[in-house]
Amino acid sequence: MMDTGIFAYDFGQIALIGGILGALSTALLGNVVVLRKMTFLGSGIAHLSFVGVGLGLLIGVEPRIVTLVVAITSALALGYLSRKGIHEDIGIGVLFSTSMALGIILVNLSKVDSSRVMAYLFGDILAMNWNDVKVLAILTAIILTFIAVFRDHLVYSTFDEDFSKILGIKISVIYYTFLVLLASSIVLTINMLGIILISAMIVVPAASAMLLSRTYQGMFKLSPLLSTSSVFFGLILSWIYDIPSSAAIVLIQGLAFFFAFLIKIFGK
Amino acid sequence: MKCEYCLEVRGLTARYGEIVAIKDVSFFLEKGKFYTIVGPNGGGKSTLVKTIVGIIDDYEGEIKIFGKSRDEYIRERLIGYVPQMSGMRKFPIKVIDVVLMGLFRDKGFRFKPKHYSKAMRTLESLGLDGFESRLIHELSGGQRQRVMIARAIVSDPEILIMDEPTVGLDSESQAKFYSLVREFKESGMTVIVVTHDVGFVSEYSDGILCINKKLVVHATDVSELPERFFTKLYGYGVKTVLHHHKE
Repeated sequence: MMDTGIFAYDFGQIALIGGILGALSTALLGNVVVLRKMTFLGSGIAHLSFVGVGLGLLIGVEPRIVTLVVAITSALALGYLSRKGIHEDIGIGVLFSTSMALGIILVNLSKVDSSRVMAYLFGDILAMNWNDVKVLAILTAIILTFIAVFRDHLVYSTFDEDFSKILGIKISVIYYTFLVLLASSIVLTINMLGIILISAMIVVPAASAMLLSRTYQGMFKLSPLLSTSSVFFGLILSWIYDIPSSAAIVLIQGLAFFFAFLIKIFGK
Repeated sequence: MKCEYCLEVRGLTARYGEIVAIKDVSFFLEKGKFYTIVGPNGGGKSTLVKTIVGIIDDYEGEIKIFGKSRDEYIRERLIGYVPQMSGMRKFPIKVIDVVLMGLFRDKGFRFKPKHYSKAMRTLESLGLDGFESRLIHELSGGQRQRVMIARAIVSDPEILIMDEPTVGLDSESQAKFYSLVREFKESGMTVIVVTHDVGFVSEYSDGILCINKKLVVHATDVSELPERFFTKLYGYGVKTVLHHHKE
């Protein structure tokens, strides 16, 4: 019998609900990230966000607000570079280390307690509160609606951009909206998994779903299931073995990918 | 009012960024005929068709389709378009979903059974029944090309434009393709094919557009164009070889 005692506590319930909301939003958007082969993007936006954390701490403004502005601006800039023919990965590669270096300098100048900085780097899902959950619920509702309405637009423009244009799909508008939502979901889930691990939440469930499902429709159904399950089992694992929750969630996702890979290889 | 031409192009200049791909091109095509566009690589053939179908918006001049401006026409209905077949990367999309893309504008919130039936009928008409659940990248070049044709014609376009559709196809697939083109033409559709296959031009076309940055010649009778013309256009020796097909 699994020890689900963590969910008897307020912090466990908040972590579970917040985690599931964060998992839903990142997994759904992650499908587009994986289909477009821009898996570096989530990690890139998260690392660029560290500048926002440093700046927020330095000027004394809530770091998440500054981070949100920085993340959205970065995502749009990377998207613009991509639309101009410079691949996202090149843009991210150029900005990745620079932004982390700038973030470290800003954090150092702010002279804040290092534990606050560690929380942004590694996350702490058990430290979430109901306000975090409410904000995540609103964002998740927006992302669910966006995907429900524009899933085919996103997939078509990834599969065949020219034909999508003929169909009258507003490719740029949908692409930039997607980037804004991706940046927002990254910033709002950073306190769950941290800057370092957040890209796993975006890429791994979608990549596992791609291995297990033949079609993009299957990916969009399976990845949220895998992602939310990893939050559930990751929290239980962290409770039983007293290990960091964010690491446990990502570990479960990694294991799921490994098994999906085995099924893909040996299941035929 | 009955429209004399299905496609009228006047003084068309189109750019890729700073580069002028075609300059001051004018021609008029009649309904229900089959035209080919030939010319050297980089001569602007693809730019011309992409501008006509609505992929390229940065152009000067006038494009009229059945008497309406290009934008007005493509707002109302699609021009069938089969893009160049480059190597297809793995993508988790089924054949039926690729064909359904052609009915996207009609679907509303989601595709309905009538859309699936239409897509299935179109696949069947192209000999692709049984392929609907296969992934597009699992198909051979010839099968993939027919799927792209199915996507282009599923919305019953009045004009079908295909960009180098025979590239990479074996002779059997090419023969099937030529016979398809004949069927489309007989059904009243105006068919425009971009090709390097000069033999194909001489065998089937009602008219030919030769493009090298500008319109070099617009002939209605292909026999007007001797081999030495193609040699001049391409810059090297071109021999026309007629295709022979069993009726």
